[in-house]
Amino acid sequence: MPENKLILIVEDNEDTRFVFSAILNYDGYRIVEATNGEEGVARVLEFLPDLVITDIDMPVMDGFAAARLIRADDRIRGIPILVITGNAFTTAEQVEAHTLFDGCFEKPMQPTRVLAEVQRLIGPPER
Amino acid sequence: MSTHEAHERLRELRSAFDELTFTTTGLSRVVPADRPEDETPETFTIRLVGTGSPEVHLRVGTHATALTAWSGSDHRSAGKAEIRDDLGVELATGFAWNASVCSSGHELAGLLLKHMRRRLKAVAEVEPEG
Repeated sequence: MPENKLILIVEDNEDTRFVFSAILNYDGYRIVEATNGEEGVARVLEFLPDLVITDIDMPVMDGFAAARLIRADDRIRGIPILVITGNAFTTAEQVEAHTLFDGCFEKPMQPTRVLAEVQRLIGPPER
Repeated sequence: MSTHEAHERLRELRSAFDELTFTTTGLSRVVPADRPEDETPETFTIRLVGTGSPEVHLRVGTHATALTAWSGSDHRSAGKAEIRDDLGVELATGFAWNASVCSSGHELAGLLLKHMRRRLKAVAEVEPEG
């Protein structure tokens, strides 16, 4: 029996990772976590997740830089990426975000919307 | 934001957990012996146990919520393991947990219970020494 779909959460705030895991994990998705963009890209290459959810502002490497690396790599460029942001994007960021990300959550997030957006992009947890 | 609203949300969250205790094996609310059951609490504590001695306590307040998980004594050395999470649950402005806002006390209670289950699973998997 194939394993359920895998979601990578890239977020430096541990409590926010707890929230995402609570929303998604017991609804059947498997979760792996990374604490910054650099670690996130490494985890994408290691696990080939079905979806990446990433914060923008993180130490070491931010969400934009990580997404650029993912989109530049033929092995992983097709993996959908959802972005979490606490601040409004600048006009330039909005343009780039449109090319890099498949969806956006503004904080504070509604759990039902998070789940709906994940299901819109990758469907139910089961393969 | 009024303290009254935060307390009302705390009361709703407590009621939601009370309902969950009827349908969730191992879940209970800890009622202090020195406080009447119907008294409006500043905090309340929820306890989750599994098949062995590992257990998780969630102490919920209007501005602070803390989870503590213990591995228990099923294994010779397991009682040494403890996990503590300070959760950013804030009831003054809504049923908020960190970057998310739930639509009701029931929804927030459900999310917090999921985190308790995750931690119970983690401490129950503590390997004995040797």
